[in-house]
Amino acid sequence: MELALSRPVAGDRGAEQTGGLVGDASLSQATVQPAPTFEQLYEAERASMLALATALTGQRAIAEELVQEAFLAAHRHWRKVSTMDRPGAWVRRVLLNQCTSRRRRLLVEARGLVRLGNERHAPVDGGRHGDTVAFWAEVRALPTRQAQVVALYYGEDRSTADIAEILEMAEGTVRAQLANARRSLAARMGADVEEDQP
Amino acid sequence: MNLDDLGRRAGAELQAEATAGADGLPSAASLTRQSGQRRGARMAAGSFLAVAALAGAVTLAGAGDSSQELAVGGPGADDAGRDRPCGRGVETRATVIIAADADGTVVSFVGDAEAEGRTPCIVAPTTSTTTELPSTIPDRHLPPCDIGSPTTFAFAPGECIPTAPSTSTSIVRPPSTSTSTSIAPPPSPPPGPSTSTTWPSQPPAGPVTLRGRVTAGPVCAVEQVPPASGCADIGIVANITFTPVTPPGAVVPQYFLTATSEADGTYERELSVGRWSITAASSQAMSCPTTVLDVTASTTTFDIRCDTGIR
Repeated sequence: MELALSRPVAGDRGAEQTGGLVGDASLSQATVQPAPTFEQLYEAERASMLALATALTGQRAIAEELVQEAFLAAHRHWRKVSTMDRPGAWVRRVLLNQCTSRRRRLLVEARGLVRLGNERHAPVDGGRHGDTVAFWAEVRALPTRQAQVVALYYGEDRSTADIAEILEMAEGTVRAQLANARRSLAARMGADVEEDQP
Repeated sequence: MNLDDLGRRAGAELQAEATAGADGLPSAASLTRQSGQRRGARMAAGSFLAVAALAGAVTLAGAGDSSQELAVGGPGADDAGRDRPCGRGVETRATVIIAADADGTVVSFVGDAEAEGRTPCIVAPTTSTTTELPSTIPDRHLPPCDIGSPTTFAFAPGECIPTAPSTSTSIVRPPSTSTSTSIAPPPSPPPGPSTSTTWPSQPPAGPVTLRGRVTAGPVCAVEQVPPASGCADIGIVANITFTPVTPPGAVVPQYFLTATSEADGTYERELSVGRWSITAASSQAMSCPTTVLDVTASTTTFDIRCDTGIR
């Protein structure tokens, strides 16, 4: 059974993480699929969503918590979510909103800590190479929308059409956000960027 | 260094780590169970019926053994064992459902069995208590909720076995019906610190069909004469409980019957001739009256008007 919004990612990562259940259809080309059960959606999407949340929070434990919260919300509204064409888009949107809420809370906390004369300890990204850790750290420093677009584009290897559907934005807006984000990232990291991409 | 190369490498690395580490996430079944527990807590916060206190006072012992016991009552406590405050003038009420998960695991919970993908087998009666507190007590010092002396109920094995799922991933859902028969403990437990009761397997069906409507009102804060348009009582979805009332000294029936009203408030339930205590509970109303009704062969209708609490 194919699940909508489980497009394979670079290097066939999508096929691996969903046990080969996912075809080549992108969001915009998705055919009519039988509605997945909650368990099927969870099994198919949780790894990819964990990666997305990790990219945006920088902390695995927090990411796991947010993924669970997103799926709990999906279970709570399952009668509605199960009737959607692409429940994966809905649950991703919930996850991204939770990441944004957490980011706002951290900003408020950080301001409070500054007033108290303390400072927050930066989260530790364990295990990954220095340049990729720095890449995601720079992504998290981008404006919220740009960070979400970049996380979906590089982290999940989604097309701008897919991203537009998940974020409920026009594709042109996604392209503009992505171009701005890539320029900022390239400048901060001293990297080359091809202007005609994506 | 090319940004796209770096981004794709960073993404691939992240995906590989997440795929390897996804086992750290709970299973879907665990997540579903957690959702059910939160549902109970939300019901408490979102309505006048603070059900969570009772959820903390329910324990299921002996799961997986040859017999099951359910204790209902006593002071409420949260998962950490701390006393659960009752609230100021809040009615604490809950219907405890004993149900089986798709894998046959028997669980007790507060909430909607069907929505949780479980097959209900026993519905304990709605238990309620009201705590009125003087206004001088600060909220943070509210006393713990107490829903009465603990009563232990037991039921035989095999009473909570759902239909086997057709595939390993499907969820067993009970058929959607507007009425149901529930095997339950007697409404008035016998004296003593703890009692043990075994339920009959089949409550009697009744020849009388009782129909009616459950409504809630007032709907508007200030009622006018004649009533303003849009302020008439509304039909509500409610769980209606029919408990047999027996004369003193008689054998107490060990069951009660339930019905669920439709969205317009209408309900229908077959009852046997006799005296029944009828009440309803709904998240759309603050309280519903309990009425003792003598059901005869000519009894056909009985309406229930619940109080929304709007004044």
